[in-house]
Amino acid sequence: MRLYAVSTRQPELIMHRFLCRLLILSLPATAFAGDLEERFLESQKNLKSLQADFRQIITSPGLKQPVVSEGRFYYLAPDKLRIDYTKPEGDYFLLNGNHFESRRRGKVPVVVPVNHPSARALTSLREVLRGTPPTGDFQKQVDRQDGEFRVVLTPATASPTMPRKIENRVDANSLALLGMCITTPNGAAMEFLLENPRRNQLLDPVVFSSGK
Amino acid sequence: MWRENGNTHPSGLDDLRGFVQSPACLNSTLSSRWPTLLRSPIRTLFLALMLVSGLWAWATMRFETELLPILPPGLPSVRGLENFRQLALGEDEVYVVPNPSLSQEQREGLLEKLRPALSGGEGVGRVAYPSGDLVENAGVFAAWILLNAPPETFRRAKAAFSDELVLNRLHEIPEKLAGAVDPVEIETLRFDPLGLLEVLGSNSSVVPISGIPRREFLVVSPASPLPDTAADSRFVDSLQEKILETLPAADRDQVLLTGPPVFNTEISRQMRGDILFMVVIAAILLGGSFYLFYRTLRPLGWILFFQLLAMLSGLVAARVFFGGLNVISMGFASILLGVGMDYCILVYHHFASPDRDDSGVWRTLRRGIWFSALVTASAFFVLGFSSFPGLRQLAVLVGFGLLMTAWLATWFLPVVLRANSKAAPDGIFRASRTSASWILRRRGLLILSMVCGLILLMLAKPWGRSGQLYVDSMERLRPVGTSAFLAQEWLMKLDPSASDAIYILRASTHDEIRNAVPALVKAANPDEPVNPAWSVPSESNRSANLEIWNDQTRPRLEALFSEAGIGSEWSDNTLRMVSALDGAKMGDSAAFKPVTRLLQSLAGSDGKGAFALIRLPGLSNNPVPPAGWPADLQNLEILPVSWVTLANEVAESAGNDFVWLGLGMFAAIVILCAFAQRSLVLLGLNLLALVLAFCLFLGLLLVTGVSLTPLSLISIPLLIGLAIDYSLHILMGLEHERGNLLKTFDHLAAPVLLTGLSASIGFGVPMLTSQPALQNFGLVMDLGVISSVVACLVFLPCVYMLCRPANRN
Repeated sequence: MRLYAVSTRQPELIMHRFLCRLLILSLPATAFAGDLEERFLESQKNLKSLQADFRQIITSPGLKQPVVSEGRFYYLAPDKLRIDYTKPEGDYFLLNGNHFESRRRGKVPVVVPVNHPSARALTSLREVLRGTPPTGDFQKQVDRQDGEFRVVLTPATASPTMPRKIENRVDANSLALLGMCITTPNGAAMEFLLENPRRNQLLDPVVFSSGK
Repeated sequence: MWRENGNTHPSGLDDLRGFVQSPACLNSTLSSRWPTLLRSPIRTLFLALMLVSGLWAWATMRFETELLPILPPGLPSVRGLENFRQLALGEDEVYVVPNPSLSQEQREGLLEKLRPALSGGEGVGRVAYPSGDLVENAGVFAAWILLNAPPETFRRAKAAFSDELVLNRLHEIPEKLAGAVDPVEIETLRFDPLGLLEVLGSNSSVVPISGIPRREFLVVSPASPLPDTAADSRFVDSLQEKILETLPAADRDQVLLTGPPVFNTEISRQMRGDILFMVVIAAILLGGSFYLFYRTLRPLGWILFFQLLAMLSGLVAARVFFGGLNVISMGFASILLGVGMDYCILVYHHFASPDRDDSGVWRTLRRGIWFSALVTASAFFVLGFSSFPGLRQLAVLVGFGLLMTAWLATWFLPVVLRANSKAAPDGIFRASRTSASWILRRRGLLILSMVCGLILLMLAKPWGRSGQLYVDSMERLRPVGTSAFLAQEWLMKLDPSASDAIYILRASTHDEIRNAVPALVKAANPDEPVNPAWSVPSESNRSANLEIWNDQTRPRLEALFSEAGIGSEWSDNTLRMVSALDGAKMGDSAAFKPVTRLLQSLAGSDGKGAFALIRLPGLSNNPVPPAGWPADLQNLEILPVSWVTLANEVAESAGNDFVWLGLGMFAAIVILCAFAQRSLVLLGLNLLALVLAFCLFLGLLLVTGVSLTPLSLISIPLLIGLAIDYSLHILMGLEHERGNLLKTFDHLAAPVLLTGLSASIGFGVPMLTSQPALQNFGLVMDLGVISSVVACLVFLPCVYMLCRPANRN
């Protein structure tokens, strides 16, 4: 009987589910058209480690200024990923095997299973770095500008619970992922930039220790 | 009056007197049955009256397909489910549900394709996602929750609207956004930049305020109410048509419809198909059996005609007493066919036998039929005192139908049968006598086997196997075979609140309900930290909170947002919230109009007081604490909206009913049998036949592994009616023939056997339908009929020989 009902309870879980879905679907779907996609995936499969300066820019209609965050990005194949923020200082995200640890706004670190909705964005990013083929039904458009490919993915069916657009930037020579920008249905955009990337260099595993 | 063969007969026109006297007359003068039947003005009048009233009842009857109306209306779970339907469910809404095994984007893709197409469908008023209103008007809804919150919470919220705090919060936005990799964080902050959700308490996660739309299914509302099943069918068909037009063939099976109109449409179509199918199969099998026995079919047509009249009479009674019938009660009407056939076949057999002119035999038979009808109908009328409305409908339908059948079989049927009844084949009588001889020769062995069977049954300890014999699940009452039911299952998987326990709470005021909620939560699950009282309005909180609210908050906040450089994309929800509060303060009755529909699904008031709906996460399988509700909740009426509770309460109620109803039926049978037979021994033999039939039935249930359900449990009183029917005839026949089993079997063996066969066919055919409830019922009834026939035709004569040696031939 109550299955007919319009649920009156909308826990945050749904919110998480919904907006994380943007990344769940979008990040593996940061695919590139045709050969480029295959070449990019092949290149990622050879990626053993990655360090980069990390910059994050959040814009939203209604906010005059973009919000910029900075830090350091680390990836160690196959399942370790970490972002250490210098701004806001002390914040970090750590994906290590089946655990996701995060510290936000100076609060106590929280550890959840890797399948927790809040971890899905970074697990999806990890899959891209691993070279896992993308999934999802998107229209793809590739342009070459200033020595980089800009790949724009648009959901085949527009939906308020799906990203309006995903734009990936890939270095035309090295095929390294330079950045990714996700535009939400409400027009907010979240851009991740990986600058000065250093691929396959020795990386101290201590970086991926909990709480460090 | 005139005499023939030494018997006195009534004159042709004196029907009423003829009815109570011997009917063996006129057979030489009347050749055509219809003119014979219609020659008497009284009979003609009665026939016309029955037909007209029956057709009136059929045409004006309200046929219900719902399960809840046949269950005791006083049970808390029944009331909870009923109230929930009125509160939270649109009676005319159809839900378009995608297959949950598809990915989220595939599901949304399907729904997005269908939404515009369905909007243009015939009779469609509105197509929306379930959370459409809530997302669009979340600010207004938040205002309502805040206004009904405790004054201390409201004061904290009001304090958060001070200029200083608002500006601080707005300036903190970039800091809060920095480093967010989860879009949910950004969206939550955009939705609630002042952090008012935090003010509502640490349990705000259960508060349904969110800017995130849910796109799991579509809700389609008709443009105008759907008054009947035909309108339901038209509406559902037009939606199906649109789905077929819109989706490619591969995707059509991935979207299903559910909701009350869909269930009504599917069940009524299935029932129509099933009824037609059952009637055709039953008619073929009955005709075949009748022909096998009597090598003629024409009398069967007359018997079925009178059966139809009897059923119409039952319908008239049901129409007058109830105004409507449930389809499940109608399913039970097959008992009427089963038992009623018995009377008609006995009458036919008499007029096809060499004793057709023996008025003594006819009088005994007629008396047997009348007593049998009275006993069985009385047993059914006792069911009229049941707390189950479905049983009350059944009692009236079958009770009146049986009395009418007995009347028609003994007044109308003889007129057409005696006119030109074909003699039964000699083979029947030979077979009857051979059977009687076999029973007589081996009665010692039969009694021994009966005793051994009873001992074996005792050793099997059926009383320790109640779990095997009776399953109190309501699943078989639910239309599991329909696509609407499958869609409902899909909906359950897609609905994040599927594991919530839902309650309707009633008290004299909403404040009483709200104050009792924490105790209820604690009793239901002491470990659960949530307090779902936010959804309960509070008259006192509202009044106190409005007192301290400043009705010019919106212009002030608008200026602050502007000063901080925050645009309408971020301020809209907050401003709509304070607008609603400003409006309420100024006495604007339309302040919460955008969420009226939502609020109506949460709480309200009626003539009995206030009511509200609350949800407790994760308790759907255990909505009621094992020890019951604590005493401090006694002023609160708690109605669980739960099939689990419903099954428990119905099982308990059915158990209580069957104890005292069973006793009532037993008393009625004892009194009427004693009156009919005026012999303690015969009365004892009747009851022994009942016990034997019951033991055989129990044995068959154990051997076949068939379980009774709450629905087929009802068949037990019906079986009592059948068994007592057979035993009365056999015992009265034996008494009349002074214990001569050969002669008794001449009159009764073939009719009882054929009646058993026809009843088995009648009850067995539902097993071929798509209704699980009727399938189990049919199987249980067939086992019961076999038990009754064997007990009364084989074992009862053997015991009679032992108990009435003086009568032995």
